[in-house]
Amino acid sequence: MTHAPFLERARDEHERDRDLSARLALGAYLVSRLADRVLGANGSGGREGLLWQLDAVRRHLRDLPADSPEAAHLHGITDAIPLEGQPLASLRLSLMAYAYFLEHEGRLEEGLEILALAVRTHGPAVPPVDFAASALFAGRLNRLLARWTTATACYAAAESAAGTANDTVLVLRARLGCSGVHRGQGNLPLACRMAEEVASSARQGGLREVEAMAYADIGAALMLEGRKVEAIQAIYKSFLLSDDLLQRTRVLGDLGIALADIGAYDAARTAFEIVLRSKTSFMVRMNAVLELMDLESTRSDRMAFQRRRAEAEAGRSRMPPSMVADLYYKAGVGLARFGRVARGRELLEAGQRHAEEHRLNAWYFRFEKVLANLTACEHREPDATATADQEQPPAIQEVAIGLRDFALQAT
Amino acid sequence: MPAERLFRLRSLDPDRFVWEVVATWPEAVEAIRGLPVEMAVVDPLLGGQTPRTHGIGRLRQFFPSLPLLVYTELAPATAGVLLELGRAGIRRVVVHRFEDAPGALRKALLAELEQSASQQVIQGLGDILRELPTEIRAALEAMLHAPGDGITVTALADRARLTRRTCERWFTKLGLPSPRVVMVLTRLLYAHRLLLDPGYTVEDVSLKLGYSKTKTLQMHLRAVFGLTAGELRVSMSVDDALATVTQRYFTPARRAAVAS
Repeated sequence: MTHAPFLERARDEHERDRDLSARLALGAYLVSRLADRVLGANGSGGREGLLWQLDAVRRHLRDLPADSPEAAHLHGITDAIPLEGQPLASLRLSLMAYAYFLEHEGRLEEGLEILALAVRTHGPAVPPVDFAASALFAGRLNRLLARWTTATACYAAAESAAGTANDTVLVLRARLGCSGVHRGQGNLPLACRMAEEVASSARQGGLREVEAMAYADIGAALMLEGRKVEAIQAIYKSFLLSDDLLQRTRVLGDLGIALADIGAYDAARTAFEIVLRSKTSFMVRMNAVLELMDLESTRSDRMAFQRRRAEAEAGRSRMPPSMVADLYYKAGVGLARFGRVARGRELLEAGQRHAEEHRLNAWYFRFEKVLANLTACEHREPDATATADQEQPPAIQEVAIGLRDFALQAT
Repeated sequence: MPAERLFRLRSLDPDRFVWEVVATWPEAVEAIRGLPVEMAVVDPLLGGQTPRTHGIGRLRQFFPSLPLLVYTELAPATAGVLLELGRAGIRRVVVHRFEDAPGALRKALLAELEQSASQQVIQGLGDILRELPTEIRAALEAMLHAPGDGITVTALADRARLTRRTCERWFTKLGLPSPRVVMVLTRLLYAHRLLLDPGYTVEDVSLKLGYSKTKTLQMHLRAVFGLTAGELRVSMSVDDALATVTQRYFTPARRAAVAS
């Protein structure tokens, strides 16, 4: 079924008795079919058929909430539909904007559908730079969906096209994408090495933003490897290098995780709260919620843990597989920390099945490890020392001070 | 199909499309079995307020050769049903009020009819019949649905708006068997396609093709393929049936025509 992800959303929202949300999803489905018609995929009844369909779709969209950002995107696409054979550039821009919106909302499958439509507006010959940018986007969406083979193919195609167009930024970003795939699959040394090579190339080329991205990726790989202080230094370097708001909030989220991991809880909380206050994407905000949930369970604050867990559960349907695995993990571990070991085990086992199903190897091993050690928790006394901040090395104290300053400036 | 949608279908080329309306899924099965139905336009809402895939799924299961076009309302309740149908391979959908402008609806129907069993037979014989005038080819296709015992060269010529003599001359000129033999063979290939669907009995196919007696169809099948209807449906694929007919009836005649 074409554009099935929109129908899936409509079905899910209908099953939850959210009729308006379901109608919004149907609006997206109808707009996608309309774009299909314009791009010549599902035949046509000529201009009369197109006008008929366009008019009907507009009527449907008019019934949607006027303040909904998604409805605004859908209106934008229908307004960009060319009726007299005009160029498709305006339609392409509207579709790309909507695809980015869907990505930020965590609707990755839907983002892929719209991205495919946007690419088709080029016709049979896609300019190399546009091709590379779209392939990077597709690679990222597939990587987040844990479709490793497809993601790798997208990044390889992006690098090749960017090379043809002599676009170094896109070439380096494609390599970082491949590094991300290796990281997702658990090959951390290779992921780290690839990101370091990109950082070095970016520095030599004076590409500050790419260098910031590379350091964020190095930090993520080092963190997974357990090299925490080095990871924090790399991530903080990324934070300092980046001028892009979205990138900075993403990096802050990673920094918060790393800080919490070494026991710098107050600094970590500061980082996550900055993220939650920012107008960033669903994914970044939801990651911060998951981390705060974990932080509260570590600090034995049951009420705060349950509040954050409820927030996370509310966004679950929009989470990509790796984030759902994270939710299972943190909820399971958190419950075990509060003495509900049996329930925690259930969640961790469900998470392990989920990781296996989506070939999230690194996550699978994490579940395996924590499940093996879970029995010890049943006999463990609550750790009072975990609630207090631990003494940190000067490098970390410097990061904490920097974050506090940033939070003060931001408010 | 609700009245409004039925009206839209009926107002499209009434000379070209003839509609058989049913109110329940069992009625739909009966109509397909006994009438010269070429495609089904279906709505998951048939027979109730809640959309269901069951009836459409059964049609696909019983009659895999029958093209199915879903023509329905788009509502939150229909989304899940469309997804289920898509998973069952039923993916062509016309959304009521959005995609059913007359031209678009006509185009969707014609595209679907291209997939019908009779069209597939005619397309299968495309290379052999290619040099016949378009009118005769169209008439041959139309004759697939004429009463089985009454197919005559005169009727074929009338449909093609030619004289009987001119019609026969075309077949002779191209080294084809006589028009009557070609009509019988075409119908038997069509019968064979239908027999491959589990939903048809031999009697159904005989009735659908307008034979007054099943025995006549059986006799023809045995004479052409050397097998009974029951044997045919389990042992001969579409390609094998076409190859048998081509080899036995078309290749020698063409060779003879070339030789003379």
